Amino acid sequence: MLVLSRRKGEKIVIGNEIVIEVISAGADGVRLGITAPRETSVHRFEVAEEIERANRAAEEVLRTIETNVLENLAAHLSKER
Amino acid sequence: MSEININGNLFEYSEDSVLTFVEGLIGMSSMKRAVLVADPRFRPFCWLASLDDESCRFIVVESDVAFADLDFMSPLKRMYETGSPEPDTVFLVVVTVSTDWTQTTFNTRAPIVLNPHTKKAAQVVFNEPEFSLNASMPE
Repeated sequence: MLVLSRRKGEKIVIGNEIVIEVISAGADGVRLGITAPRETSVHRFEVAEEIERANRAAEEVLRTIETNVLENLAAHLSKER
Repeated sequence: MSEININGNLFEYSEDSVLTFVEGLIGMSSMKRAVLVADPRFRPFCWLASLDDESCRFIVVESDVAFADLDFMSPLKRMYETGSPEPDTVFLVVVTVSTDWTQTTFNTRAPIVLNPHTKKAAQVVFNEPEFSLNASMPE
């Protein structure tokens, strides 16, 4: 891991297009400003982890799911429409 | 037409229907190309099936079908600093199916946003409290 020291108002650049600026730093944490191309998503790490877990759970259950479970679900939702 | 095997069943798709996920799904960056397959047995649900990884299949449902009262467009618009999303953007909600189908949950917090014209898709994250990683079955 690359470790850099930066002060308030200083920046780092990742690649050519992603710029991270230290907005403020104090005992309660560091505030960062991030500039990135629109197609590059930026998430808090713990949020990305949570979504990844949800994606994997959604995918894994389908490997062994019985067809009738999906049919029941579809029938229920069709009825509600 | 090409064919894709989803859980042992073959479905046809055309190359111009292939969706491109520039970044993949969150935590699943290898899923770059996928198809949306309507399985007549499970309507209104669809399969979202990766063309890059045969084990990567999801059940999704359009937000308009399952969560018509939830406004997906406003939080997406807030993500745009300039410009705005296509008015006919499609939001797909990933479904976590439970073997007890009544316990199935819906990930409204991280929907898949699809531009129906360019076929580009991305998974976004909404932080507004009305969106949930595991929303219950619509009543």
